[in-house]
Amino acid sequence: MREATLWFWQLISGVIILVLLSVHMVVQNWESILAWFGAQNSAPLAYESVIARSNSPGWTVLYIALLALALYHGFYGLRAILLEWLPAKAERSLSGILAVIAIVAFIFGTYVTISSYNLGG
Amino acid sequence: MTEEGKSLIFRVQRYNPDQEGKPFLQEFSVPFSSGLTILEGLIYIKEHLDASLAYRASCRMGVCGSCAMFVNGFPRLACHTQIEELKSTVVEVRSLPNFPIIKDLVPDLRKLFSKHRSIRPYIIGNFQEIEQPTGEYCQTPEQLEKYLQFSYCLKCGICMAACPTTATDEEFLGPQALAQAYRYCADNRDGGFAERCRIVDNPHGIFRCHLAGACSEACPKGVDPALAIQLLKRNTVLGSRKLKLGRPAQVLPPQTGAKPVPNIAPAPERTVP
Repeated sequence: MREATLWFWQLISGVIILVLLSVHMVVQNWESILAWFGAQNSAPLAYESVIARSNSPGWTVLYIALLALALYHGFYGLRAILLEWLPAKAERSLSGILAVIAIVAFIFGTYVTISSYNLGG
Repeated sequence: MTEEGKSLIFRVQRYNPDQEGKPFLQEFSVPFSSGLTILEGLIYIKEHLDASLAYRASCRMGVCGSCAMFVNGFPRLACHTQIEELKSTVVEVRSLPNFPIIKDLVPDLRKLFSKHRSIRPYIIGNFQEIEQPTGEYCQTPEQLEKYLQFSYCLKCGICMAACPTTATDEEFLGPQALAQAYRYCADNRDGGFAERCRIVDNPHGIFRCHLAGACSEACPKGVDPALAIQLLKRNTVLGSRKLKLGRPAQVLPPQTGAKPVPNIAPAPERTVP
């Protein structure tokens, strides 16, 4: 793949992560946000809420997308930093190793997300 | 401020490859006069104090790029920097960073030139026309504006010395080569955008630039290589059609049919065979 294409996806994934991660951060900290405003209402980290989100296809897709984009964004960034430090001939090996680690992490994360989608009623 | 007749302290980096030891700073006392430049200080040292001091200089007016040095922590042209600009009576002069030292203040600039050559820094198009021109290239003032600023590059190496990526990554093409790649791509007489794209679009090319901007800050001629690199990134990613259409520019045939002015005296007899 051309370096230009890889870099282009770094930009796009950054923009999309901005949106998805904001949603994730708000949901995870909803109780604290509400408490700060003085209200005590829903509990997104309570067992029932977590199961409800796991069973929802929308949330599952969102989390798989966030996982894929965050892994891409993070590992491309790490590769850029390491490329400046390592000798030039290490480039292919480095890209290969990082790609393998990222793909393994993605498979593992997706497996957990899909499993929790299949669990419960 | 410094007065006439006062002395300045020049701390000059010395290094002799034929002798043992690392580069060190040697102190000299140089009389100050208004308008004194770093280069004039070095010339004074060489003429009166230590004739073995080695440095490069040529035009002494900021157009050749020979005298690029690291002065008081910033890369500058020695001939183009006045002592009064530094606001200090102590002047520390070192060889240009990110380049190996040949001797004293003389850097080894071969990497600069080889990186510059690698991006094909010439008009790529109709080579027959360039070698044996039959007319003029069509270029409007607006088209000239698109690359003119980037053509002011002196190849002095100051941007390469300032760039943090050049400091860590040996293979990085560097702001000078990348800005010149854009200079030629943006020139409407050139048809080599696709080729230069291939040259700069690699793991040690334009995408290792992270917009530190030190190159543009340090450039003595206002070339703004950081801008050129960002424009090149944009054009490379979007596969810009603007840099491919209508390239290379058409050549206008010479004007014919002009009538000579009447009553002009004939030329005198030739005196050489």
